[in-house]
Amino acid sequence: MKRTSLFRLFIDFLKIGLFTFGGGYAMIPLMQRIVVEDEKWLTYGDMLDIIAIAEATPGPIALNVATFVGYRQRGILGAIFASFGLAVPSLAIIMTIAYFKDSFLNNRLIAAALSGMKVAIVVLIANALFKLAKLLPKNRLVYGLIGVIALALFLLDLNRTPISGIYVIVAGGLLGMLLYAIGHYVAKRGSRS
Amino acid sequence: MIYLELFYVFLSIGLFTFGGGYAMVPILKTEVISRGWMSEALFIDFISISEATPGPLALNMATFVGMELGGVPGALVASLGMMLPSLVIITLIAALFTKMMEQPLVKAALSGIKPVVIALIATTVLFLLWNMVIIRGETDAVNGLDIRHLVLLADLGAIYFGYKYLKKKPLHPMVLIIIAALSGILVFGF
Repeated sequence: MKRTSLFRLFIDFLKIGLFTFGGGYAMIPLMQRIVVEDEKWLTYGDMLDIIAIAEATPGPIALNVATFVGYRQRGILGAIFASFGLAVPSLAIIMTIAYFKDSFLNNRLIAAALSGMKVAIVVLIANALFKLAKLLPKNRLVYGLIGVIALALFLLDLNRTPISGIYVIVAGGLLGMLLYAIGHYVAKRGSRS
Repeated sequence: MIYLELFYVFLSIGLFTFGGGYAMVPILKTEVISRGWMSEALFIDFISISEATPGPLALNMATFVGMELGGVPGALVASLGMMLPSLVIITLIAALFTKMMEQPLVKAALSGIKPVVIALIATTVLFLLWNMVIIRGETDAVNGLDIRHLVLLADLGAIYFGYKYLKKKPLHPMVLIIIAALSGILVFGF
């Protein structure tokens, strides 16, 4: 396999940093396209594993994915180049805004372009959501549970009593381990009798 | 020294905020205001600009607060502090990834986390759609539909999924975002 250049890692994550807005999930569609489909650095399954790990560890998700991919491709230097690539657009844009003491958002056309881009992000995240959901075991109970959790979190948020995602993630992790332990216990007892 | 303080505050935020950018907003707000670094009004301004500009929210905020307090060196120090925990922790995980994934308990925990993450992404989609399409009155009551957003959403959805269906290949996300920016100018700009 051809060795990935550090420059390539830097530029690819710079593109992702430049086209990511707001919350961390907005970068998933572009990451899937660049990291999975174009560069083939990861599979879709790896990507979901890494998003799950990134959610359970501190730090912004996009940064965690950049560090992970960079490290797997080129070791510690790769992790640094990918992370800094992701950070450069943030640094450059925010420094410019802070320097000129003008948010640019007061500019009608820029504000209009940004509103349009937000709509595209929703379409792209929805598409990424279906792609990721397909990776789960085909089980109606799992899909039903996902729907219920998503709806409950949405309604709590609307009610202005949001629950931090981390509690739900910890609960999911504990449930996964509990089910494994029960399965293990049942299998052991079954083999003994 | 302000640089050390900035580094320390953002290092602790990078270390203790789990699950994406919005989790760190309340913690950062407390830190910034209790230290007398800025007013709440300015902080809220920073949040709305950081949300609307590219890049991870936490990183944008680090740059903003750092720049406000210590100029360019302040921005760099704050961002570096923010990034350091991720760099260290994820590098360790990446180094041990193959071994880690062979552990049955790790696999079991991830099998529980993955559906939850998908549920969280679905919540995000629902929330973004709601905020985009529903117009709310002063008391938060639903006050109508935002027709311009709805039309743009239908158009971009048709372009994206239509392209995928016809060409059997997804449209590049950057292309859709650029089309959306231009349509945004047409729809909202005048």
